[in-house]
Amino acid sequence: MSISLPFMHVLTCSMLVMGSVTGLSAGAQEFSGDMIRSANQRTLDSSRVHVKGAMLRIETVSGGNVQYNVLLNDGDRSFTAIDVTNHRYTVLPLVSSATAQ
Amino acid sequence: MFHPGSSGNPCDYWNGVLQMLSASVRPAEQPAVACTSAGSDHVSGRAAQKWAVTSNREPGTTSVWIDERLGVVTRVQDSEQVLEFRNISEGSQPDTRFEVPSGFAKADPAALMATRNNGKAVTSTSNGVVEGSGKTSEKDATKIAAEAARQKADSSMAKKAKHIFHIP
Repeated sequence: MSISLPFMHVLTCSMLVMGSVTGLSAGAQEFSGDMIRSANQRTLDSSRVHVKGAMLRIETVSGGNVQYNVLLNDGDRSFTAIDVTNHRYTVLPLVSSATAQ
Repeated sequence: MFHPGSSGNPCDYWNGVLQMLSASVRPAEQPAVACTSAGSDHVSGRAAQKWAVTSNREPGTTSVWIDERLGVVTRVQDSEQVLEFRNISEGSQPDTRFEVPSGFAKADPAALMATRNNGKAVTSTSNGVVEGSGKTSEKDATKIAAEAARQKADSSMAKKAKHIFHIP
């Protein structure tokens, strides 16, 4: 998966909240919030993030003129990119510490 | 793999993950991070523990805040950018929110990558940077320059984050 610019946002967003997906209390936490990236007090981009146990959803990730939603599921270890603009999606395996070796 | 642990020094956990991920690397070359407590703080009104994180792979210090209730990183700040989790609301999330909407067609990854971007075909490179080809109008020059600056900043932030959280 390499939708570079938006994917970098996905990556960093994921890193912040993946603790609840892969962490000790997986399955116990449900929350949502806004992930804001900024520089010099100027917002660069933002996404709505939802977490439910081992599942993570990141909404409205801009990729050029395409809007993506992203689903991460640590249960079946999948990464789903949803092309909201063109009504299609793709699923990729989620690489983790367990599979990266 | 990014969970800092429920208590104590988060670098203990991160370094453990890092060792596992870099098991094939010679010990002297293995990346590692060091955390120094910077006390209690708040992120978006929520109690958090602040840590100063340094890496043996690059200079500088990155500040990381860990939410005390959720145990997840809610803010990362380096010399260039801030990534912050705001408006956190704890509560039930419907299952449907984590499903692909009905009526959407499944595509292979290559098809998704072929999505058009500002009139340029989007392709991926080995380092994950999107490149385009084709003609560019002059009126797009400013946009493209801004986008390039943003990509550079993105790359820097992602690199920093990778060092902190040990993304392989």
